[in-house]
Amino acid sequence: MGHTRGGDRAYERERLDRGASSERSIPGAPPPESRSGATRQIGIAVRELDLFYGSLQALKHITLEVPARSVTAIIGPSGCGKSTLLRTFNRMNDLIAGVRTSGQVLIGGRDVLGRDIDVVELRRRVGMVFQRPNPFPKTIFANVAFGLRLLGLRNRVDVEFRVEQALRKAALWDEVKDRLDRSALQLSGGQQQRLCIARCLAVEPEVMLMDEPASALDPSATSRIEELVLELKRAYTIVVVTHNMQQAARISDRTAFMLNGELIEMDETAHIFTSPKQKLTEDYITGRFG
Amino acid sequence: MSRERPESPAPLGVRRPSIRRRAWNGMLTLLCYTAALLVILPLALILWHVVRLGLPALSPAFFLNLPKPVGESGGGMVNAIVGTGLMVMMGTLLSVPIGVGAGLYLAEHGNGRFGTLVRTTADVLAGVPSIVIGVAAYGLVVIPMGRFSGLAGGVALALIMLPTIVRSTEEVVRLVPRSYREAALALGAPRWRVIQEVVLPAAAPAVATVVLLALARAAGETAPLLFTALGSRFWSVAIDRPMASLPVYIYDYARAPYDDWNRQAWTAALVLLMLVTVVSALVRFTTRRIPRP
Amino acid sequence: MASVIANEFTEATSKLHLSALIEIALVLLAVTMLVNAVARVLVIWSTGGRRDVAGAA
Repeated sequence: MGHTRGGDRAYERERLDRGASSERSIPGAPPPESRSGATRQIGIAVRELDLFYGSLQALKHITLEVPARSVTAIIGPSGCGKSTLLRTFNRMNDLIAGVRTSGQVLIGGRDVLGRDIDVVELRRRVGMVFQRPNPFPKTIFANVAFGLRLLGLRNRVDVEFRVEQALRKAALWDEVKDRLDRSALQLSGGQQQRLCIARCLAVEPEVMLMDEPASALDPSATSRIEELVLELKRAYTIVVVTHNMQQAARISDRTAFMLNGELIEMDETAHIFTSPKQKLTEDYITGRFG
Repeated sequence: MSRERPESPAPLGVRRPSIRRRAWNGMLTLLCYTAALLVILPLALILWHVVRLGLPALSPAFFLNLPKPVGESGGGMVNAIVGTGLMVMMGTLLSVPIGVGAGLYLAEHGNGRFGTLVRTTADVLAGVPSIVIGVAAYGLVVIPMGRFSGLAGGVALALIMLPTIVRSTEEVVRLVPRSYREAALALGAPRWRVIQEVVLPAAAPAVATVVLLALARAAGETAPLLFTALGSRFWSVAIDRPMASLPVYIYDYARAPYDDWNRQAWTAALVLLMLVTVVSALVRFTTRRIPRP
Repeated sequence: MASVIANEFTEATSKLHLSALIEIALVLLAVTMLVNAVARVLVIWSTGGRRDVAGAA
């Protein structure tokens, strides 16, 4: 597998240059100029979103804003609709029969619930990490390269470069660089989850959705994931669903509290946890229910 | 509190079960063992007889020579072995693409009315007696072609293999965990790529098992070959001519009034049994799950 | 029925004989399908019409 050991500077520079030119070759990816530094702020704006599973209303008049390049946490007791809301952002609810939605979900200014949206493209740009790590039964390399192959990237050097880049961003490269061709299922739970994050990062999304990403992991793996999220927020808009309030307080900039399908309160994380405006929020945070 | 604790009736120790309990236990255990033995017995008897009676005539000549006229010794059945191989291969080539495709369809999209129709059809076809399938192949292939042929035999075997492959493929594809499909979809894969790149590779070993088991079964079918491929005493690999096969060979030779032929029939049975056993064992060996460290 | 077909098929010379044998096969098929159908009805009836109970079609 020709990956470099990182010593030779000239070689590194050449590879980065090659990397920059190959960025242009991913169909659908935004041109490199718009990624570095300014602009391309992709936030999420939800307006009056209702969602029904058959006759059961799971989301009621949700209206909220997720600012770009930040971490927004959604907290609430089980069954309050936080995962449902998250899955609406990348249209994963389409997979369930009998789901109806009304209202708008604007990501980057476009309503993703519209009929003319290319859902496949949407899901590339709005990536998702699931509660239980779900790497494919393939090699570590093949897992991360999966999305790249979907996009039609064939040049082996480009693919290798991007795989390494994604694994570095997910803080997993050093642990797996010598065994990229081993099965992904041999990794520990925490490593598998970081692999799933790397897999998601490889296709260069703009938004990352995380559905309780650390709830299936032990404490040390959890803290590594949290560190990772804080790192990633510099470049991505991240929404995290969690049932762990301390986690939400640690990693998020803004927090939304949901109950029974409704958005009770949303504010800067510090305000939510020290001086919530709604009594229900205060009750939940102090552990009186949920 | 002025409640009185009642005295315990007897010390709560661990005693040995009564004689009666143990006797009843032992007897039922014995019954279970007997039942298990009764299940193994038919297989053991078959194996014993076939090996005992078939082994004497088993020799390299058997595998290399063509059948000789009555009275001459040293006849073999290379044409039957090759014929079985060819017709099973034909059956596989015809039934696997259709069967696996249908199974895949049923697992991915098969919850509507059309899916139910396909499933029901496969179930009914599975229950059709093999001789009726032979008659059907007769009408489908032999009559239009005007002659008995190996091709008709292959078609008949394909019809036998098809329903098993369809239902079993559906089952193993359904077993692929949903989390894989979700992960692939969330990365922006269209549905067909999810199936092609994730579901199929994950299900491939199980599908291979399914196909090989159906193959092993088809190799032993006699009735459908009786009036499709008919059988022949000569070397023939032309698929538009009658073709010999092991099961039909056994059928003919076992019924014949010649001792020598009867002996050969036993040997043919042994060869067929070995063939099926080896294939099944190979399947189980190559698809075993090695526990990972 | 099956043995009659097996034994006489290759020696059936007249068209009538052949047709008769094929008709036996048809009867055999009908019996099979009938039994199959009855079995299905039995399963549906005993599981109360629910499709997700073990063994239902």
